[in-house]
Amino acid sequence: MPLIATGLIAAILLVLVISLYNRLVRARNGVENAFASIDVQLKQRCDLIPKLVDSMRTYMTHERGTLDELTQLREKASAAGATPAERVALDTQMSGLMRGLMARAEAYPDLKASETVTLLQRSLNEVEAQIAAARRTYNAAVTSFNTAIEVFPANLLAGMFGFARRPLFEATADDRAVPGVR
Amino acid sequence: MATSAEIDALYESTLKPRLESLEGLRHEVKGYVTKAVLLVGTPAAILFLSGLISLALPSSLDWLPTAVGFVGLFAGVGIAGVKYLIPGFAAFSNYRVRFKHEVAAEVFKIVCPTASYAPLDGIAESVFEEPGLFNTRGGFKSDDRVRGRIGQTPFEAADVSRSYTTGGKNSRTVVVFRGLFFHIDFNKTLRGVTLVDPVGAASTSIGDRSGLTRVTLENPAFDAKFAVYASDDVEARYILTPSMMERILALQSRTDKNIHLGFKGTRAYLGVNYGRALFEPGIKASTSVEAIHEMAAHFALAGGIVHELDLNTRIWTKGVDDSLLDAPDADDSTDALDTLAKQGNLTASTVWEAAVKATGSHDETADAGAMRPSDTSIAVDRSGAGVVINYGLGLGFFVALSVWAVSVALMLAAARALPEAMEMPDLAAAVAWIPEIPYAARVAATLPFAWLIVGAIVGFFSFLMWAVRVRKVEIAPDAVRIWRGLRPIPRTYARPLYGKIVRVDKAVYVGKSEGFAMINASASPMLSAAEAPWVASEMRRALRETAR
Repeated sequence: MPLIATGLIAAILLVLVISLYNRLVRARNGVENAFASIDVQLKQRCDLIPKLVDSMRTYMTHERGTLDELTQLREKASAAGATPAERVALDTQMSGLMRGLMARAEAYPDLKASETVTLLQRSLNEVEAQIAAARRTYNAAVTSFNTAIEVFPANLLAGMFGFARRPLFEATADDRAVPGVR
Repeated sequence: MATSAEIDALYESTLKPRLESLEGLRHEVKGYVTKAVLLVGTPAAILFLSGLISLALPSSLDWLPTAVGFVGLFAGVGIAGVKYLIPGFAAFSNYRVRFKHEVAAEVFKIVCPTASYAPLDGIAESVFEEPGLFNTRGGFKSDDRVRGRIGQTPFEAADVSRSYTTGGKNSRTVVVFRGLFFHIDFNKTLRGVTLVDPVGAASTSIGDRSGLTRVTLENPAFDAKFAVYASDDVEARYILTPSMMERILALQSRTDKNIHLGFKGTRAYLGVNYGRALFEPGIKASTSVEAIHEMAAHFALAGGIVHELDLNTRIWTKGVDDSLLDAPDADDSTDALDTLAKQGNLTASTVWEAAVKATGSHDETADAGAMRPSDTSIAVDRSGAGVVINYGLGLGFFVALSVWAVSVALMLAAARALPEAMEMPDLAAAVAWIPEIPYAARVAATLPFAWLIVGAIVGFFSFLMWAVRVRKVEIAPDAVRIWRGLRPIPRTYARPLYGKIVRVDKAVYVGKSEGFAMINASASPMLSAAEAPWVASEMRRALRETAR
């Protein structure tokens, strides 16, 4: 009799552990999936930048340095072997440069009038908006993952199987502001 | 957007005189409503309070309030329906249409000068249902449509109502949505669908959410007020940017109503659920300056929503799509009554004629060529001064007469047996005059009370069937005379007051020449499908031939 009871309890515990573990795996996959969707958008932006840089070069004679820097960063980011963390860092740098450029573009009326540039800027805005959405989705996934591994009793299991807290994307003030292109 | 002072000025200069000229119509509508309510409400109240009233009466009369209430209620509903329903409907329809054209349209013009207002058109039901925001159950109505462009963004908005009746014993009306519904060209292109439901909305309002995932957003204030469902959670965040969430929250707190949003394809859909119809005239009292201000605020919301949601920011890849401005109207009916209603020219008789026409038999020309059926026993005699149509008595008459005789016999026998069966000997004197009826007495003795009731009901209807059955009609130059039942003297309908033949399906009636009446005098028994048009055309011919 006690043997059966022990067996039953062990079986219930095992089922609990399995379901907990599966939940953690699902949460982690959610995070990875969300990150992948950011990655897709980042790549799109990387493809857009050389086109934009080329069309802006004709007008923005005083910004050669910034434009060159952007091209270099872009090459680094799209090079094989860059880790996700590196790509995110490069992306942040590129975003900053792009914003600076856009702000200064106001001073070039010819550039503002160019249809190609306007179109490219619209595409860039589109990608920016998509990236912002993807980042927020990523953060939502990370938050639910972090919560899942920290609550009791999942935290015991998380330690055992090596689930570690993931960092959130820092929402900078820039993310809220979309460059004003009309 | 017009200022409050401008609206006041408009009210004083233009709207006030127009509203005053509509007062006559409003009083007419109010009169019909008041009379109908009194007519139905008084007996209903008597019935409701019958127990209380009985206490004040001697016990032998305690059945009186209930009886008076019942009879009064039936009569009240009947009279109200006949005398007030149709003219009341016509008057209200005209009042409403004139109010919208003469008052609401003026308010709209100064609030949204760049858009157009079609008071009697609405948003198409297919548009309302496109995002799947609301419960699909129930009827759909839409009017007061506003259409145009705010900045570069095309939009349309309308007063929309969807509600259904639950049916069954505790039937009640459930309002799915009643308020302003917007259909706007969105500034981003979408692959899936994203729906934003207010947390406080009734479950009967919200449509099916299966197949969509619940999306939790990082704005706790927003999450507390709205539940977001989307086919793709990244896209939901693409639409619901942090600033968009703030704007939706601001809109919600400003209107203080449930706000539903849907995003699908290239369009945004937004419903502000007021729970009542907007832009409607007052009936109890004249439309006040406050109501005009409220109306202006609703129009302003219609025009302002594009700004509030910042949909004029067109910095993304999607261009402006004008196609929604050419969307079909909700109601494209070209019915003659509809046209009159839209012009505000409805009269009780046009409504009535349309109702009769709907039965498909009022058309005089349809009967014109009808020939005499070969198997009919109806005789038409043109030898005298007038034309006589003799229907004869027919089998139906004798059957009704026999049924009536049997019913009366049973009823009387049952009444005679009643005091004994119910053990109320005091009543025996009251039924002593009834002779013993053979056969019936034996049947009635089994269940006297039940036979009394059955006999009374069947007797009443069979009496009606033979006593008012039309036997003969004479169409003379001075009058139409109709013989009914066994009575030797006809009822006379003087011409030219009466002089119109109306056929409703298989029966023919004599009506007043001018205007309309709810109830026309029957001028035939139930005829066959072949006989009815022929009799109607014969009578019309006779009327023409004998006309003076």
